[in-house]
Amino acid sequence: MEKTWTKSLLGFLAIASSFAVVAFVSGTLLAALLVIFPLLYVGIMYILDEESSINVQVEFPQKLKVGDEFEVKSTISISRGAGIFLFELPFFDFFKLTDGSNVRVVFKGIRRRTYDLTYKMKALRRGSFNWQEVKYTYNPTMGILNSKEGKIPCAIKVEVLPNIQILRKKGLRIRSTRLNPRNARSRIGPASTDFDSIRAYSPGDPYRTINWKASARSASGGQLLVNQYEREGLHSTIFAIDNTGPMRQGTKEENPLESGINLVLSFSNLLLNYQYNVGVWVMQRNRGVKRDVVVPGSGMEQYLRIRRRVMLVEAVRFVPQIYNISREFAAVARETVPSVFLVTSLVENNVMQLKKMLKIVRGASSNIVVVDVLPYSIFQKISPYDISSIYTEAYSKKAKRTIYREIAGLAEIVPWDPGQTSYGKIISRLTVSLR
Amino acid sequence: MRSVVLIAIGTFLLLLPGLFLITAPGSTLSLAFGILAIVTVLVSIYFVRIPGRKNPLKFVSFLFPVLAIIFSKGYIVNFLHFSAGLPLADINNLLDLLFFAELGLIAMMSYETSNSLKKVASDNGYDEAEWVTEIGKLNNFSFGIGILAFVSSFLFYVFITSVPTLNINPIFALLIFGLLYLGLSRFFSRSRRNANRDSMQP
Repeated sequence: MEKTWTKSLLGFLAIASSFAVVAFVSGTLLAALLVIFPLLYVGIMYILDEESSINVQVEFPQKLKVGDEFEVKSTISISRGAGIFLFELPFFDFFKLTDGSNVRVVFKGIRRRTYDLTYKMKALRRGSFNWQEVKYTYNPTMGILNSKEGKIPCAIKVEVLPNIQILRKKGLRIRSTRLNPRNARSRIGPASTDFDSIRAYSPGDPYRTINWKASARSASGGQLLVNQYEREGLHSTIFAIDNTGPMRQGTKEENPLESGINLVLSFSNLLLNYQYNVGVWVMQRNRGVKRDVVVPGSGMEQYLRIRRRVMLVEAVRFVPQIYNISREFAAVARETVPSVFLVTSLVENNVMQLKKMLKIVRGASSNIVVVDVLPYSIFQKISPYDISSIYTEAYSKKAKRTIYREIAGLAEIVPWDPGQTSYGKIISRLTVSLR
Repeated sequence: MRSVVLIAIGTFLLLLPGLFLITAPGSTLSLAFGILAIVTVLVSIYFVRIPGRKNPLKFVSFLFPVLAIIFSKGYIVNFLHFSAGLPLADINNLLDLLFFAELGLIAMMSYETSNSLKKVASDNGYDEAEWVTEIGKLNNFSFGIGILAFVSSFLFYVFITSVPTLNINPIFALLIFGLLYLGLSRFFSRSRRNANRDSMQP
């Protein structure tokens, strides 16, 4: 520790010196007592005000779900120094303290001390959070020596997963009301042994699929025909997540984007249980994330892939030219001709841009459903006034009618207010639009 | 110990020399020194209550009683032929009170430290109940160390004055103490530096 002679120390020494002068000038022995006392006090304080040795251990869960409340246990042992220690223990953005505090104060005297400090936190939003060090400030006992700030390395990494609603298979009927066949639409996935049709050979087809008898019988004569088998997995569905400004309405923890991500994960989980091919397109690439598309696939591994990707989604600032179709998505859409569920929040500013984009996407998708996430119940929650009568469903419908009219012919629009309609109900509604 | 108790003790003990100078039968000069000492203490109490501000006035308050002693007895009085008029017995009493005033100074400094730390607490959202408890412990500790130094120095003084063979003049006694003090402080700082170096090694 860098020792500095503070004003207090100099003041004490000045007093001792002045009494030394008194002793010298007046020749009074009693004045010596007044020299000894401050010097002795400064001496004791100097011995006690030594560099502290601090060890901190923090118990923190590594994986959490949004809404989980947990106790953080930290053990702090201080072996040297005497004074007041201020600690700033781990705490992250998007967490809420529910009991106790992460900033703590402890006093340490002469003896070595160990402190068990606990506090409770609640995770409010998904994401990965890191805490590198515990900061502390050491204020020596009397302020004779300057206080010191320090950091103790403490690598904590927490992953907060979205708290999604896992829907039971038997609770929902995944059956389209459309006339389109729901089977055999997948163009990717491994081929099964179920025969589908016979078609003309094209370079690259495996020889074992050549149907020699059918080729011999064919009218054209000499043209090779191959058996085509059904692909595993059902029709491809891609969730397009709009992560522009309108999805950030509300608070950092509660906004259409967060609700939309939960919806995508819940719905993906259900569809993957039904062997669908599910993919995700994050419409705006965030800094540090390489890919914006999770290629449609099936199985629970695919669910984990989707979850990993959506964990990284953050809202970006809205600019008019933002709704461009990425090459990656265009390639996947051409190959899989998917159903596209666009999770967005329609506002006057973005509707025309979305309209342009939907016109292009329509050509490469079997159908498009726009899930318009309404922020009204979030506004109700955060408003200091009772505005429940304003944001009724009737009001929202009226306000949105003009916006919906713009894209009515391009996509099916499903308005959804997460505060009014449960995930189960909205997913049940969306399954009707599945192809 | 609560901070308000500390400031009460500090104020009382720091005011003692000034009050003594006012009440003791001396000259106008000693009375003036007494008034100045009291005013300085009162002004320093006003400043010491402002958190985060170190005020040197509490140290300055010692200057006036010191001047009263210097102008009452010794070389300067003989040289100037001018006296503050304090008799020898009163000088000894004043020195006794100054000894207590030094303890009051420690109490005042403890209060000052806890007061400035209190500001840190209110600015950074620390739990107030926890803070009051820990500051109380700090106050007990720092004032306890003050009392320890107070008693130790008194015992040391009694020792050097009671042993006949050590009945030496004050300058020589201070010289011995100073040398002893420097030697011990050097020893402790060196041993601590070594301990720190050992703890830094992996």
